[in-house]
Amino acid sequence: MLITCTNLLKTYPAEGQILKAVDTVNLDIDRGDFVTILGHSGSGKTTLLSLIGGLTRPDSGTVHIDGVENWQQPDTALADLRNRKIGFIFQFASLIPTLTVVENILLPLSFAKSPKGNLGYAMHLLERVGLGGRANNLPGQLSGGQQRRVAIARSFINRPEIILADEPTGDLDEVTEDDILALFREFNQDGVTFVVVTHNGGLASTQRTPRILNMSQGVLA
Amino acid sequence: MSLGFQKQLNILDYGLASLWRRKTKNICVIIVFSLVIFLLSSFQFLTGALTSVAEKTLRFAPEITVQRMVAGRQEQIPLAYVAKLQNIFGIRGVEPRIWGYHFSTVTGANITVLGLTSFDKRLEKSLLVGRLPRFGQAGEVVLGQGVVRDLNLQNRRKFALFRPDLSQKTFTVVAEFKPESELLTADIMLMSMADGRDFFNMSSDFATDLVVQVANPAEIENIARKIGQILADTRVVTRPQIQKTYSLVFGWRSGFGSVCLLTSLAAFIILAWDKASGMTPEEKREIGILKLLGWQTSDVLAVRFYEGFAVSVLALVLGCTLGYVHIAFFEGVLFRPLMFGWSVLTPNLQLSPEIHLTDVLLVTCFSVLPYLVATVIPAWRAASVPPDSAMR
Repeated sequence: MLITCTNLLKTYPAEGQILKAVDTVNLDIDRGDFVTILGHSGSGKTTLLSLIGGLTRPDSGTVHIDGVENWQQPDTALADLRNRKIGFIFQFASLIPTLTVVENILLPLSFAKSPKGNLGYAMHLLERVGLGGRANNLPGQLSGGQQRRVAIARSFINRPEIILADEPTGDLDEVTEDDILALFREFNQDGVTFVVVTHNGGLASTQRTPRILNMSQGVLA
Repeated sequence: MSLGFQKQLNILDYGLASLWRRKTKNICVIIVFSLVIFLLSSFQFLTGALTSVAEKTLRFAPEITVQRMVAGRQEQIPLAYVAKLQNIFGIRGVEPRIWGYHFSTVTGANITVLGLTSFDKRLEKSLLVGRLPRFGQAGEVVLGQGVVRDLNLQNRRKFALFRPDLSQKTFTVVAEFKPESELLTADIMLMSMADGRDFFNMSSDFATDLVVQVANPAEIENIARKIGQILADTRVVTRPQIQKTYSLVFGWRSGFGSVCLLTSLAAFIILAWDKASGMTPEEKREIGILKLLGWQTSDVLAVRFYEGFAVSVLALVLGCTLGYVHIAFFEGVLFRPLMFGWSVLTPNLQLSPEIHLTDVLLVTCFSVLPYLVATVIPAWRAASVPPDSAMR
């Protein structure tokens, strides 16, 4: 297994009570899987994604990636994991506003030997998300949907094994959404593993994605 | 090239690019920071330059000066005291001197009048433009630049001043002190002892003080002590004491000024700290995004360190250069009143700042280091938060 979650529990204090955002989740994801986790807002999908990505420490339970337990590693190894093995697509605007579009895409390669040597690949990804002519624009000059597409291009730049995507098509129109899903499938066919969380039943339909899980009140069904 | 070195280069590249992206804010910070460092370095350089000028000029000061004290105040000293000193072993010569002040009611300035029985010939070469007064020629004087300006002599060589009985005494200028010695000679009018007595209407049996030359400069303090024992009613002042006094005066004035300026520097650092700790949501979000993308806390700190280092070193170089220009080309105009005193006959000397490594290090310690601390520590606090906090 590439990803193994065992008895994952994450709670948050809320209005004097303890809210179980992720409640004893067990999940196995194989290399090359395309997993869609479907749930309403507040169901704990984003928390589960950040637990898998090593962004949030669970109260209990474990996440193994490639057989290595996330939180048994030092912070440096965990940062390295995020940098090299995982591509993130976040729900919020995650571009640095003072960097141009192409600089944002190259950002995960800051520690590579030659970040600018990947400029051609960055431009290719930008073309693939339909923004080939906007490389030197600042994020502020793009719409919310266009920014989302730049973030998607960025998630692929370091050729990750895993893509963790939080509502990746949230701001996109139908045509662009199809383009993005086609891009996902293309990478998936090349062996990249996808974990996508969304409340969009259309996106999660079986015609488009091979494996769908439902999540409600922190519990994965 | 090793990956670690390459990583640092990439971080440096990111940090410098980040500075450029916020150029308006950073240029403002550099301007204000440079200004504070300019003021601080000006004080250091001015103090060094003044101390250097004082040391050069005081080489011609008497090795020992003996003044008679009555009721704690300086009185005229009888010439009979000269004989009492001549028997002390190690004394090369004793000369009476007139050292007094002439107050100009027109300009409100005090002119220091110096009447001597002999002149050090080395003065002519090193400190004068012109020649020394001749003892047979009544009324010949050497004037400091401040006196020349105060009397508005321009090209005139003759002028008259009032004696205490309001009769006029005429003088002829035979030389002026060189401008570079102005710190100590600006207000001096040098003449023969006879002219000094005549000008002040003093008795020929008295002088204002005695000047003692010693055979071995290393023995100055010992001989001064012996003089004090033989002439119990006198105050004995040595050249090292005068040099020390000047050094202390400049040091004190510089210290006073520096403390005032350090307050400004502290205010700036506090402002920088406050600014860095209250980072804008955009800056916090940027740190969060970097951490989400696999940057470590130390990488974020390295970016902040490079940014702070670049800003503070640039400000240091700019500030110190401005400080040098201020002293070398504008004669420390901002701090002249504080460092030179508030005399009417203020020196107008051309200073050449001497840059000592210790001065630069001192300025660096009081500017670059606090700025780095003020910017890196708040960034460390922001970068230490879990990366998922940026997702919420």
